[in-house]
Amino acid sequence: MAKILVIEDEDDILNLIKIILNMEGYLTILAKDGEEGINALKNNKDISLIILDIKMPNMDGWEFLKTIKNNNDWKNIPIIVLTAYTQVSDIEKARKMGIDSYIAKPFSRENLIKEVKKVLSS
Amino acid sequence: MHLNYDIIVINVCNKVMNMMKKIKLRGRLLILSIIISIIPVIILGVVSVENTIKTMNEEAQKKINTDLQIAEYILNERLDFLSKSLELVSDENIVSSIKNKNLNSLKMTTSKLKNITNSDFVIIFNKEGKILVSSNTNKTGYVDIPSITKKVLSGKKIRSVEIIDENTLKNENLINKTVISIKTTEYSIKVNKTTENLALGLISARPIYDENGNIIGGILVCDILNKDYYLVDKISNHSGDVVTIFLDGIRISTDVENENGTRAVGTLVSKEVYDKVIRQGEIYQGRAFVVDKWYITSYKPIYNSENEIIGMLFVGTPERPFIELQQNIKAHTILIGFLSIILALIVSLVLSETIISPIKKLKSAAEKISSGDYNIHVDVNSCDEIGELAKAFNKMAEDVRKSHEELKRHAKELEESYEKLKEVDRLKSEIISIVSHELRTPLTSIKGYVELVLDGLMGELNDNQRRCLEIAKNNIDRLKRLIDNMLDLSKIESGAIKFDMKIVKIKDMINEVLNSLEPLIKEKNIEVVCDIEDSLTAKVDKDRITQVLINLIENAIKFSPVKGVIEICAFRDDNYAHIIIKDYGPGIPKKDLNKIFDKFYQVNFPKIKKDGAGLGLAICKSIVEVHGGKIWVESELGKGTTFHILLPIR
Repeated sequence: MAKILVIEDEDDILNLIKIILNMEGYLTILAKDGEEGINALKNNKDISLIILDIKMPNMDGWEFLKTIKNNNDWKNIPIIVLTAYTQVSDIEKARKMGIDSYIAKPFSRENLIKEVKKVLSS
Repeated sequence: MHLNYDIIVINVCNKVMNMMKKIKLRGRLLILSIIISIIPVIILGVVSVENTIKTMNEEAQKKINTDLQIAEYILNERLDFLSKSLELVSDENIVSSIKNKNLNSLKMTTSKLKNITNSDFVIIFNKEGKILVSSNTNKTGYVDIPSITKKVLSGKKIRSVEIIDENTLKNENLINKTVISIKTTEYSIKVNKTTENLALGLISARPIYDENGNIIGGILVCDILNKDYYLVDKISNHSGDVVTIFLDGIRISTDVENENGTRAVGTLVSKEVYDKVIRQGEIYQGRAFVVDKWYITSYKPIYNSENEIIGMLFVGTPERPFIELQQNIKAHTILIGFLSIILALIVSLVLSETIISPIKKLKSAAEKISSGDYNIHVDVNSCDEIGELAKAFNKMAEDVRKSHEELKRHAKELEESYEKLKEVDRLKSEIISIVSHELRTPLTSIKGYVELVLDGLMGELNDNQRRCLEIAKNNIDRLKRLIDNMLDLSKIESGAIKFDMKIVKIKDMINEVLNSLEPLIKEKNIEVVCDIEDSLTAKVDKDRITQVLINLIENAIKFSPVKGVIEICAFRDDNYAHIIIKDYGPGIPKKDLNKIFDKFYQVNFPKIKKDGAGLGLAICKSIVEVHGGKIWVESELGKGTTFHILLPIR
């Protein structure tokens, strides 16, 4: 089963995503900021998707993106950005940094599942 | 006709006025001063020259007339002298000499008398009229002036000018002295003869009485005038004029000169004068052509003792000096006129300069003010209207400067408060943005977990639980829309959103909107009537205008009754695409009409559920206005509502 790294500073939302994904049968690894995300990547070589929040303490989404896109081992892992930043400029910026999908908060369960499936199957 | 002239005159005046308006002030003053100076100068010049010349001519003529009288007087004086000399001769001696046939004594008497009187001949004749003795010759014969001898022998004294015949002249050995060859000149009369053999003579004669008082003969003294210049020179010396004695029309004694300087004896009078004086016996006064030039003249007939016209007396003066004088006067008048016009020009230039230079100062000051230099003081000190104008101008400049400073101060204040407002506005947008983000996070959890439960993933739900959770979910969605709209509006208003303007077909856009709203339309079984110009386009951000159209049509559907009608039409209106969306719903109360585009304003409809935040129309208005368009509403309570949108075509 595909292993998905979820990076989100809000515990409730992190948990919500975990429940939704687990129910769909995906394995999840959870991280509460960019740094934890990097560590999780280091410890888990088989991560097939990252769901990423942008606004986070320590290392935010932008920095995290920069870091993994500069790493040969991680740069090909697909990424779905899940954020409350809905400005066109933010979406554009994220797309330029090589993300695969973008979901605005608050999201619906259906939409999240649909996007995850789409990204994983491509 | 009269009216027409009036109109023409008015038209001409108007044209002149219009032309005058085009000329600068200096030119106008110049024209005015020229008119003012030229007209009187010309009138004065013409009148004075005409008057002077007329007076001069009159005076010259008067002098000539007077001189003619002097000439006559001198002629009469000569005749008087001859008569008096004749009286001095003693009859006694002559009578005794006649009786004694002492011809020598008589001859002596005649010679003596001739010498004393400086005359040409003296004769004594008997009572048959036969010449007894003559001062010039020993020949005897009859006196060839029968009328004279007859009168003398009848006891009269003679004292007159007479024609002396050729025979008498020959007898008296005078013919060589008196004969005159005739020369015709320009304007003169024509005569058939080439010489004049007759002569004009001053004659004085009286009878001779014997001791008994019987007439026994007469004595006659004659002074021939032909080529005798004594009289004419004497008259000329007195008057300074030119004098001529004519026999008929021929100059016999004159000081008129030919071109070569000789006396013009033998020349003829002009025809004009001849006709008037010799033929009609009148006095001729005025211009006349004499020999070779024009004179101011006076001619008078000379009568003999029978009262027949036998010649003329002429006094004249050449016209040329007068004409030269007149021309001089004219030249001087023109010169003075010219000088006075120049003077008027100079004066008007100086005068116009005193008017124009302060006006120019005012003009440049006004230009400085309009270019933004308000520290202006016009330096015009005159006390006239322009000085007053300058004073008023300075006051105005001062006022303008003050109000400009005031304005600048206000502008600065405005700018400051504008900056403050901008800052406030920025803060507001920022706050809205932050708040929306912060609201989204808890909302995400709420929505997510509610969905989990509602979808039965956390265990079976009974109907009541489900209904409650659905209400919660609907309100979560409403809250989400509210946050989205608020953020949207704040971004549009702050200009944070870039609009992607393209030429879009209105018909396509409306059809897409209707397609997306198809489920709603079907749900309420609503009939949509479209009347849209096929080719109508507008330059818009397609997504944003679609948003507006969805909002408005959605509203129309929402407020229409089931099976109601919605009309959508679009057409070109000047430079705009005009879209009209009309429903036959409940309509909007008048008091709400001008507030429906306000943020968070919602009309209270009892039967319709509120599911928005009252931001939809505010967003529509912002979007349309960012496009440079217009949106407004017309509505009548109970009849329906019509929305109008104007979008620029390019």
